[in-house]
Amino acid sequence: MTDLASELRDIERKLFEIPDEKVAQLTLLIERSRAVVLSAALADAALGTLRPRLAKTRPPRHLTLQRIFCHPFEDLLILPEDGDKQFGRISRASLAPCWDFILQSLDQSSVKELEASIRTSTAPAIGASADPRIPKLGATLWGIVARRLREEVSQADSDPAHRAALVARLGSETVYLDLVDMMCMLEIAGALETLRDELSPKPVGRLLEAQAEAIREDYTALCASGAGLPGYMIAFILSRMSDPFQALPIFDGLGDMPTGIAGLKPGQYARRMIAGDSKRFFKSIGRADAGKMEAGNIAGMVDDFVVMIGRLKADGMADGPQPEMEAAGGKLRDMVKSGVLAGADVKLLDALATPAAIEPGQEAAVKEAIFNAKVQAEDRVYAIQKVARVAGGIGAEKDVGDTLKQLGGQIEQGGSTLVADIRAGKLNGIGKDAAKQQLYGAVRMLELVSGAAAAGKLMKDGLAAIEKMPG
Amino acid sequence: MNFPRGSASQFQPAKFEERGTAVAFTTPALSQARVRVDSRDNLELTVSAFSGVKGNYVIRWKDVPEIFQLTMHDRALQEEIFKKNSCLPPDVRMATLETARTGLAGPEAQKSAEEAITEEENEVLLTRYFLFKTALDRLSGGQMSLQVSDFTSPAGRDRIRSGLGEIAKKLGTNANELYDRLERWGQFISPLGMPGMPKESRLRRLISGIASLGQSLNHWSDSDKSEAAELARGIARVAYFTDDFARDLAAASLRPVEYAERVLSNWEKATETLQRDIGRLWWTVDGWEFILLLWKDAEDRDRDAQRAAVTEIYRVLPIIPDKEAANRPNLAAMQENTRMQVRALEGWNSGSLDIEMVRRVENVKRKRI
Repeated sequence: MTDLASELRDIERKLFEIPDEKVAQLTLLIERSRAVVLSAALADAALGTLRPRLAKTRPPRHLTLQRIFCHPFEDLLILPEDGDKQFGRISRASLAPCWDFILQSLDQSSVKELEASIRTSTAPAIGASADPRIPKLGATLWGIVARRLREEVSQADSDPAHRAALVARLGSETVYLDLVDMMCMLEIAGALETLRDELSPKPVGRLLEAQAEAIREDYTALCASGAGLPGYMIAFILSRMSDPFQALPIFDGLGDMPTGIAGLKPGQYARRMIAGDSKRFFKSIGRADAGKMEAGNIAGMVDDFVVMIGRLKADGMADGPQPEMEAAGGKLRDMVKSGVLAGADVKLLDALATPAAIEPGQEAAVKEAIFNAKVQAEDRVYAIQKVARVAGGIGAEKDVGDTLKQLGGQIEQGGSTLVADIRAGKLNGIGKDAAKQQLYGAVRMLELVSGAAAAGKLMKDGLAAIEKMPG
Repeated sequence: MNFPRGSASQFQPAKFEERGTAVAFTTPALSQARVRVDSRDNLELTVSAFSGVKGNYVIRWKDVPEIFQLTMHDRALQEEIFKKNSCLPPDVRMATLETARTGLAGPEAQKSAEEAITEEENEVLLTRYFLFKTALDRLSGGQMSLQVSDFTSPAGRDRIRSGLGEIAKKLGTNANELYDRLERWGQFISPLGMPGMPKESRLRRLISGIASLGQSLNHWSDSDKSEAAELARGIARVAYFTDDFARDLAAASLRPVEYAERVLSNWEKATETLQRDIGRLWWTVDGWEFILLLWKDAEDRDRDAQRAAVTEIYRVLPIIPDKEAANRPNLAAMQENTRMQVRALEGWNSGSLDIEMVRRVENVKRKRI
């Protein structure tokens, strides 16, 4: 275990030096060993280590029946914040009970036949953007599973006792509702596959006009075909996008087209899903621990939050009381105070401190410590500046403004002392180059905190003083 | 392969010197702007028009800090280049490293610059060793044995000198002069290195990187549906052309090693050719390091960031000027005016520095090829 852990750390370090072929071999080995040699958790940890590289190398993945089954709705999968059902999303926790149920419900000879087909199919080459075996084998599996589930769900709809038994078998109401969502996605899987190619690679950023047109056409065609519930295509589209708000005009433009849910238009469907995602994001903020987060990550979270509430408000989706949003805003304000602003002055002082006397043999260690202190101080200042841009969104503008002012004053004071010391000849012993290094350190920090004008003055005064130093 | 030539094509630089050398400014508006010498031997800056239209602004170098709000790093860099009064790529590179070493672009850029300077010193040492070894093997018939460590101490250098007497006589010079010539020759070609060196030198790494970039962007463009795909294919074509051109120049720069005797006996004349060839290679790959690092950084980011990187690369793409490669096929196809892309997300109207954008440029500065 320890050996494997240290090997994983080693892999993490050298991740981008490993040849593509080796990455492909490792991936297949880990996936095949899952639940056989390695525990699922260990296999997931190992894959997690490789993940940054997987995105780049795209090795062929170990194909299983479950992977094919999940393919139509994999974009909808989330790690839930609580046990509640989220509109338009499927909890990862529901996968195992649903798949077990489906496997037991299917005709076993068909399952064996499909598994045999997987074993004999050829994996795609390294770097292939998709595995062509999935839609090919999926066309059969998705149809079979969807029909079987539809029988169960129809019976559950008409027979409360059957429904209760099904919920009990699956483990909870949320899992049952997730199973229904899976079924609905499988029912329109064919239509999704056409659109998937258009909306690739994931996440889709700024939507191109051709993509917007494809969404309109495919949605209209799905509605006209009468197959499945078209709203699930909206869920699929939104979950592939990094900024789902940009799709709202498209769905609004689809007017009164059906979604499969009575009274819910495509635009409303999309808003409901976005609202669910926002709520989950707000809940995740509530769970965040500032003590365990880098200041930069907190700043990123604040930025994401402010952007999101701005979009929600602009679209009228934040009208009325928003307890989750307000709680998240308050939490972020506290996180900024404790994780970004607090201790920033100490970080800055550490970065600007000059080691008194370096013990022989300690030069490299001292240099490394100075470097780390500077990197940490800069990261902290960047985090503060990032928050400063959007601090109004969480009501922290005064705290952030005061901190910046205080830090700027602190560096300016230190800079003035440095210049005075240079003028007084106190730095003559270390020489011009070393004096310049100290000056540059203060100038750089002042520039990051207070801007180029203040830093420019310090630089000018400092260099003029250094020029007059002897030697 | 027919790029439409813009109406301003007559104003395209015809020679490397007219194109100038890319400067690693961290002020976003000036990132990869070029420095060149005007008709009165004064430095000037050429920077692409901010509105995205074709054409460049040309500004006196000494006025740059008055016109732009520069980062502190860029003020120091502008001054350093002004002091050196040279726009040759090796001089601009040295000014860039010296400035980054101050820490004004952050501790990581400082560390990276220090490492780059050390690395280049090692390249000089190794290239000298391999050059001396190759040349002396030819001239002494393999009689002289050399160690890398000989070049790091006065005693070792004296030992080499003392062994050069006979060869020097044959070449019509003395041992000290022969040693100096070989040493200077090694200095000239050290950015390219010698065959057989355990690690490739910087220019060689850049050339390999340019070819890989072409492949990577071609591959990327196959999966992209936006307008950036066409730009990526265009960049790839320029990369392949540049790679091909640079490889020929690299081969030409090292060919004289094969007739070292003639070079060392006609040193003054040979020096001009040696310097010219390696100089043209420096100009050819100038500006590509930023591009390679920018793309490397973007490769692990989302598609929007990659498209933005492609647009930015296209904007600063170093095209080989007309007269430098006049006899090569397809040159005309590379002459498209690339200064027609508006940079994304630039706060061009605020007049103040956007610290996050500066950091993005500094991020590239932290890395090396």
